[in-house]
Amino acid sequence: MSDGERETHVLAEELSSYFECALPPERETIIEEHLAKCDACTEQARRVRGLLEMVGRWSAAAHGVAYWRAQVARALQAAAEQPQYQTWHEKLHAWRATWGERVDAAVRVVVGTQGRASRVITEGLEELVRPSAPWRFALAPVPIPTTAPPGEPPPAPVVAVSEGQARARLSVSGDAREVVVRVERICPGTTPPLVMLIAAAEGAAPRVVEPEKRPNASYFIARFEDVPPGEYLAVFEPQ
Amino acid sequence: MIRCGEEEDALTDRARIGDREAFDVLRARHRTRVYGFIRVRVSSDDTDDLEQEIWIKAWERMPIYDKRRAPFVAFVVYWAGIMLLRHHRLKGRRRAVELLFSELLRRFPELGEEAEFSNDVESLAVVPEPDAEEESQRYGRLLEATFCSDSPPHQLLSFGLCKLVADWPPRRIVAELSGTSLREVAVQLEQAYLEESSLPEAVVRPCFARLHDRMEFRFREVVKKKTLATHPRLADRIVGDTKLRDYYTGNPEQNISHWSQSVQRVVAGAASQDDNEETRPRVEVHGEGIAKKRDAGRIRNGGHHNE
Repeated sequence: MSDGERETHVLAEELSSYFECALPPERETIIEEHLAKCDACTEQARRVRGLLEMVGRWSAAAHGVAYWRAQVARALQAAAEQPQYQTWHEKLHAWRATWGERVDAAVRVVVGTQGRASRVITEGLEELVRPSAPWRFALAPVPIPTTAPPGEPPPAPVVAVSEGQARARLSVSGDAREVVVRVERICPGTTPPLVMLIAAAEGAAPRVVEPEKRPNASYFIARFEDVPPGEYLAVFEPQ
Repeated sequence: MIRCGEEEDALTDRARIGDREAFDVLRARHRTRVYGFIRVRVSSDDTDDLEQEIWIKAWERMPIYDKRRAPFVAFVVYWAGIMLLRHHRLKGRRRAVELLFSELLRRFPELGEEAEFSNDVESLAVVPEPDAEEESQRYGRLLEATFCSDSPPHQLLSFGLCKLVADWPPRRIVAELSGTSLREVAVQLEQAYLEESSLPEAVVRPCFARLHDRMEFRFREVVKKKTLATHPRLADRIVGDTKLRDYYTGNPEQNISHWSQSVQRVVAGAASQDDNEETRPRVEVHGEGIAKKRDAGRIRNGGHHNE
C-alpha cells in the first residue's frame, strides 16, 4: 500500500477515539470528510459504533446472563432434536416458542470429585427466570460437605430448596455422581415441570427428565445419574 | 450577490438575516463533513432523508446562530446531533440514544440547557432482547480482546474494576486498592468477574491467564514506548509487584477514569476488527491485530516467559 493510500483510510482504534471525542478537531474534520465518501470506512465505523454500544452495556453480570441464555437456547434446540426425548418434543418446542430462553428456575450445579467439593449456586441468574415463576431456590441449612477421606462415609449431598405453594429440593452428590430433584405439592391435574441439566462444557448434550411420582408418595423425583464432574445449569420448564 | 471566496463570517451574517443564497454557499462548503458525521450514526437507508431534515433545521435556527460561540459547521453538527437523537428516540433505539447522548455531551457540554436535548429513555419502548447466541459470543470476544490485549496492565485493571464489576468507582479504587499489588488486584478482579457473571471458570480464566502472565514480566517488556516514557522509574520493576499508586501522575481518580476510557477505545476498535476480518478496508494497522496477539515476541525475548 502506498503512503497516499495508507493515509486515506481510518484505523478502527482511531474510530473509537473519534466517537469518544478524543481526537483533535482537525483530525475529526478529516475523518468526517473521508467517511462521507468511503463506504468501507463507513461500514467499519458503524461496526465500531455498534461495539461501543455493546461495550457501553457490558458488565460481568450482563455477560453471564447472555451466556446462560445462549446455553438454554442451544440446549432446548438440541434436546428437541434428540430421539430419546421424542415424548417431550412438543413441550420443548412450546417452551422455546412461548418463553424463549426463560425458565421457571435456574440453579448452577458443580458436580465435584475427589479434591473438589460439589456446590450449588442459587444466585446470579435471576434474569433468566420469568417473572412470577413459582420457584425460588436457596441453599438449605445443611453441613458444608467436604470430600471424604478413604474409609469414611461419603459427604452429605449439597442441597438447595424452594419453599412455596409448590416445593422443590435439588441435591448434588459428587461421590454418587448424581443430581436429584424432588418436587412436591403439585396441583392435582397438573404435571411437574420438565427439568433440564445443561453442561457448561462445549458440545455436551443436555439431559431432560420429567419428575415421576413415587409409589405411595405425594412427591415426584427427577434423577440425573452418572453425571460427570463439572459445571451444569439445572433449569425448570416454565408453566 | 455572492463573491467568490467570501469570508464565512460575512456569509453567516447574511444567512442570519434571511439570505438563502448565502446559506446555500455555506451548505455547499460544509456538506461533505456534515454528511460524514450523519452517515456513521444512522443506517444507510435513513442517511439522505435525515441530511435534508438537518439542513432544514439549521436554516430555521440561523437567526439564533452566534459566530462568537462556535464555527458555523459546529452549529450544524450540533443540530445534526439533536435531530439524530430525535430520530433514534422515535425508532425506540434506547441504546443508540444513550450512546449518542453521552457523545454529544462531550462535544457540546452546554447541551444540557437545550430543551430538545434529553436523555429521557424511559418513554422508549422496551428494546427487544438481542439474539442470545450473538450477544454471548460478542461479550466473550470483548473479554478476550480486553485481557489478551497489549494495553498496560494497570489500565486493564482500572477498566475492569470501573466498568465490568459492581461498586468499584474510581474513588473507591483509589481509597482501597492504591497500595495493593497489581498481581493481587488482578486476582480480585478475576474473582469478582466470576462471581458476578456466574460464568463457568473455563470461560473466564483463560481470558485472564495472559494478564496474570504479564504480571511476572518487567514493566518495560509489557508496555509500549509511550507508556514507558510516562513511567520511566518503573522500567525494571516486576509488573505484579507494582501498585496502582506507582502509576498516578496527578489526580488519582482522574488517572483511573482516563485509563479506563483508553482501554474502552482500544477494545471496541480491536473487537470490530475481529468482527469482520474479510470486509474491513486494507488499512495500516499498528502492529498485529490486538486480539490475535497471544505471545508477544518481546516477552519471549525478555527471557522470562516459561512455556
